[in-house]
Amino acid sequence: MRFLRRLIPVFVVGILIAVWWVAASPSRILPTPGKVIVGMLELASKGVLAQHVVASLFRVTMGYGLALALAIPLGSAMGWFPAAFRAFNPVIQLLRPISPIAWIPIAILWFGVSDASPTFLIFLSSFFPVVVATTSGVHLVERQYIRAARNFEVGGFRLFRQVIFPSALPQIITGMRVGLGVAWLVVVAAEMVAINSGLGYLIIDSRNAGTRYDLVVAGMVIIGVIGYLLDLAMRRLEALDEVRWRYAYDR
Amino acid sequence: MTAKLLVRDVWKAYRTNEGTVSVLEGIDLTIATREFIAIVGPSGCGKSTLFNLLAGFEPPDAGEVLVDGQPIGGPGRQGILITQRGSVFPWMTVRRNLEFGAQHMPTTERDGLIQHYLELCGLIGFEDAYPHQLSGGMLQRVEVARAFMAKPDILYMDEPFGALDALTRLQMRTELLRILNRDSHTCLLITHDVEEALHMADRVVVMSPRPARIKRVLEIPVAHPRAMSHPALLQLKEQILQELGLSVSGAEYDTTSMPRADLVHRRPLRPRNGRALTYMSPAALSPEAAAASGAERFDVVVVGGGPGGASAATILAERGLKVLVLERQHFPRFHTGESLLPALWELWDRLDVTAEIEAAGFVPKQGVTFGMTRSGDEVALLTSEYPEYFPRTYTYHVERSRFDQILLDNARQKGAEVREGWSVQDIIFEVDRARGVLAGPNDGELRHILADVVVDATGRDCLISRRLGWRRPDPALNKVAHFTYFSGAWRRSAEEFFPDQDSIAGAAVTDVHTVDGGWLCYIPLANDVVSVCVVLDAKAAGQIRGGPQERFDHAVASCPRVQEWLRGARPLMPMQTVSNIAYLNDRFVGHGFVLVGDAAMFIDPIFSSGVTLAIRGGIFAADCILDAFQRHDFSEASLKPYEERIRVPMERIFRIIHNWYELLDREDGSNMLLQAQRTPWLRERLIVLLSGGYEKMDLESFMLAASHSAA
Repeated sequence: MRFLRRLIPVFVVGILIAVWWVAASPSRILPTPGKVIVGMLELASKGVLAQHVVASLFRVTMGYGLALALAIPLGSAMGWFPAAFRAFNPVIQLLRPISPIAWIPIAILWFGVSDASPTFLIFLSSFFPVVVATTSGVHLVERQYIRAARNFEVGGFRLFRQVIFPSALPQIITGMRVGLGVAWLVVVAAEMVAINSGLGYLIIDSRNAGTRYDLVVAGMVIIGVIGYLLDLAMRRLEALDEVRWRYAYDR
Repeated sequence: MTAKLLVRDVWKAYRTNEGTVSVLEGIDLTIATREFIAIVGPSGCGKSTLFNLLAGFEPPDAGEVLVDGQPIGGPGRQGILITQRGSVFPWMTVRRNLEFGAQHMPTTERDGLIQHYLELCGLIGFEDAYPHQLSGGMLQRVEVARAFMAKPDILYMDEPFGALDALTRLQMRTELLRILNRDSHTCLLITHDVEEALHMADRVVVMSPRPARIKRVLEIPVAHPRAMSHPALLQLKEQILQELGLSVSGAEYDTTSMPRADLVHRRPLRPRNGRALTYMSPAALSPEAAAASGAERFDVVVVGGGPGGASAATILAERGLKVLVLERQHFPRFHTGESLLPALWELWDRLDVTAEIEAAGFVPKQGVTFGMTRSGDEVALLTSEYPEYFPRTYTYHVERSRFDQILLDNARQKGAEVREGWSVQDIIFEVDRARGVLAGPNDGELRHILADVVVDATGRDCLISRRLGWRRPDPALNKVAHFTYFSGAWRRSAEEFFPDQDSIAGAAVTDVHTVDGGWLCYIPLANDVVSVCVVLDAKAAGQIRGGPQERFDHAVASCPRVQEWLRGARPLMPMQTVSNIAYLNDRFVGHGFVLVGDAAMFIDPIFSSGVTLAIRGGIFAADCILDAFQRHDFSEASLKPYEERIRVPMERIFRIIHNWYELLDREDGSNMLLQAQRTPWLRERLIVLLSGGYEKMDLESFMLAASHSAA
């Protein structure tokens, strides 16, 4: 039974590929899965594929890392100190609904066509989900834990490190997962506009330089696969013993 | 015996949307080192609040908590609190949780201690497990082990085993005793399980319902290990269950009884909301001191000269007591027209005032009609349909100014001293016992008037109950009343309902009609005057634009029949407005005082119950006070029979009216009344109810019928 259940998603993907293959066969423009794989191998053999993937991942790492470094402390402060919440929450709620894509012109204006532009956009896109999740995670720390800590005369930074932060961690991780998903979404869009490397650049370049739709779709598939792998990695975080207690109820 | 923990006269109240709720009232406890105390009491009585104060999480409003003679400044390792919810950190392993409890210790000492408690609490092998991998019983052991790690002086356990299954609980009890035996701690345990308390504790403290006081403290003189079949334990169990009102064989649960005097200290009643109560020392109250200071002295002081106060004064004075009635206003004071109830005849006979009332020229009333405006139906209910219930099958529509005057004059005539235009500033208390009032002529000088019993008949002013926080408003019955007198309005004769000359000449009926947002009462009085009163739900009234006149007009306009009756009528005075929020006080008596009439309970006048209940309450209170004088015992217990007697009709009418509005909201009120048209036994009960025979009616079947007709 378990084996069957694991097979089902594979089966669904298989059907989709088959439908794609049949549908694309008569078309002269749309590539079949076979052609896409050939294209991918071509890119890989030239070493371009790895270069693009690394470029995209590098930008995500930078932007996302910066976002975490700022969002988690800020969110913690906002969740714990009402004054910090009152001060920062309006600004955050005001900026949050603005799509990172809308920032592209400003980013180019400020940072030019460089690695800094997409890094900035990725920072923007992943900052907000993390800050919001951290704020609510810290804010909702269950009272009985804080009372217990006070009872044992644990306060100050130790209270934060041993009680508040770990108690909020499950929610922070969920925010991080959302943030990383958005970051990956945005890197591709950012690269389409400004840069000469990265998976987004690969897609646009393949279309412009000789309408290589097999390479366009190859880029798309790789983006999808990497996004999926990143999500899997984040899910592994949720399985850690320190945070499992929180999710155990939902699953 | 050295006191480890000393709780001295601790009080606590919380502010909520509905007002201030008193949770703890004067808790006194002395607990010795190594003592094990179990606290039992009804759920929600304030036990957990008490623990919060003891463990330092909250400060008491008054009184103090001393550990080793020192006041506690806040939560700390000296007193660890364990609750049923549990606070073992789920993100730490068992070992890390235990470490958390003793971070202040050097590592080597701490590791030794961890090993010790892991062994003692049966946690060996689970050191590195996370809490979500443990069972409920194991988790509770971690909780206890962590608490011990802090080396607390006192352990507070708030239903620590409440979430466990019965078998695990039993096991945990035994284990806890074993651990406590090894390491000596002072221990307090809250539990709702009487057997648990008897199994573990040295003493059991029984608490009263909220506001919590200590009802009893029982020693458990049985050595450990204890078997529950031990005769002493069985007897104690029965005794505790009885205290809690849970005993099968015991008496009914008494929610208001005070603790036995020999078990608690007497303490002053604390005023709420910063209002003052005047306290006097016993020395100042001695006859010599009182005489020297020029204080007056009566047997009974009645505050308020309305129907309740006048009735009580009449009965008391008639029996030779020295009674003083203090009334703020000068009679006749203005009041709305009132529809009385046939049940009053028996009471008037008691007061010996029947002749005066018959001679007053009031308009006779033979029944009530209910008009359902929306459906157009009308139901007339006449007392004469069931003549066996009451001495006479009619009553009167009265001008309250006149009626109240007759009752007060009657009290005067029977020997009570009545002072009109006198205000009472305060009640004088000697500790918790009322000893008189601080009063004087309006704008005049105040003086001390001492008495053995104070009767609070101050109506909705609720002189005493407001100050003591006994008043419990019912926000579901928040009404506003607008009323005025008309002349030249149409008068409906009772003859309309009596085909065969049974009607009394000039008799009327009380007309009640549903209107938009409430109901309207149409009461023909003497001299061509008609009193019209509109009672609206406060919320509905707020939605009508304009002032009282506009609301009144709006209500009348929504009832075409009454609008027609009032065509061409001339209002005799400006619109009057009274806010009517229902309330039922927690208690009606205390040491040396009783509450009568609206001072005890108020509910909106749809069934005209107020005057009947006030007069009845006045008479019942007087009966009880007379008995108290026989015994010369004016304690709360001595005055309690009054409360027990009057609570029955009061709570009945409160419930019925509460229900009535639920029905009215659902279906225009018409269902129950229309069913009464068809169902004789329901009709009979309704008529008895509307005639004031609250005790003569089978309430349960009535409510049942009401809920059926609503369904």
